[in-house]
Amino acid sequence: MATTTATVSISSTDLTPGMPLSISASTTLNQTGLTTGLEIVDMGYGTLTVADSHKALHEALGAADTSNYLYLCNDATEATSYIEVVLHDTVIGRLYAGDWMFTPWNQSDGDAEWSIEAEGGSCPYAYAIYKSSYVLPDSTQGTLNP
Amino acid sequence: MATTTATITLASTDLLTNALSFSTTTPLSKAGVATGLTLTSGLGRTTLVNDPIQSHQLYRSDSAAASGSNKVYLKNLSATASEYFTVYIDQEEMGRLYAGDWAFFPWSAISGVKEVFTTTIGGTWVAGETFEFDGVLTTAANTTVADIAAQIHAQYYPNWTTAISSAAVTFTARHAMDAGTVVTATADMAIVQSGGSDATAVVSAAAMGTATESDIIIVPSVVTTMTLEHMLFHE
Repeated sequence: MATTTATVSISSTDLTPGMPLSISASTTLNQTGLTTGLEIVDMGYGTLTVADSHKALHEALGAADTSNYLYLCNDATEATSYIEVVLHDTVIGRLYAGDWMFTPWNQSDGDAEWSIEAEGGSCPYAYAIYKSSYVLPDSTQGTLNP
Repeated sequence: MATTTATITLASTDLLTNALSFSTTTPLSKAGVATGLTLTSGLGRTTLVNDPIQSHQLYRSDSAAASGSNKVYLKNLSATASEYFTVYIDQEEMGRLYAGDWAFFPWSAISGVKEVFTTTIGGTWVAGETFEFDGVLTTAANTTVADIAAQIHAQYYPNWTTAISSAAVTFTARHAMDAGTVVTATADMAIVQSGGSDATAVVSAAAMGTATESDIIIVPSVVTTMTLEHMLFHE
């Protein structure tokens, strides 16, 4: 069993006048509904260009209704360059230069894939996906898979 | 301009052969610029008593700028490992937030179009005749249509806002939604005339609303009480 912790700190001294903001939360990435840790991770780096259409970041290839997490960071340095993050056909939001996100992901069905697209300029990005399970896609070239 | 920073650290000593530890910090800025976000919902907690289990609309799309650099923080405060909130963006299920889990993600907040219609007060009114809409009753104080329109405009409507131009009152829905038909108004509006009067309130223009696309919905997993901590940073 692996132990992976995800910690967030959000702070501001002047967002809400007279009430400094200091959020700190930490969680262990556990298997679905349990206290044993996730053991599968998929990490990568890449660069999106504006010429690209939406690119699949990750297909929903795991078991439905399980505990999975997505971390994604836009490493662009130009403030106007952003990554549009889409879950199947729903726009979740825009990650501007330097922004990151961390969210649970329920691979509830085959229509739960993540895709990303650069706007305003090229966007280097990094991602990590922690998963409960992983199913390889079917081979489309059966002769190579005896 | 406010300065707010968000930092994530992901760490594990035994997930991989190599110890894993990385950390990223970002200032929460407005879209495409280096100035900080200045608007927030404030940090809040919502406790749901879930019998029966029902969905809860946490943030409406029209509470933030569409396609802005909005961010949402969520944390499930449950201590029971099997309890979770399912998080939806509109109809799309994003994921399950199990006990102690948190999330931080951008939010496009794509709203729909608010239904709008204009009704013009006309005909011959008699003092004491009434106009009722959205559960709000207005009693004509005199026979002047512009005055009656002003009375209607001066009321507070739970689901609509108003603007006035002479005897025409324009109603705009407070929230975007697809009602499925042009103007609930025509069905809901009622005038009570006295004998011989021909008081009217004709709908002279109307446009149907459209549904929002980004409302954030949470659904608890159990019928017992569950609490979610949440905060919206937005433009």
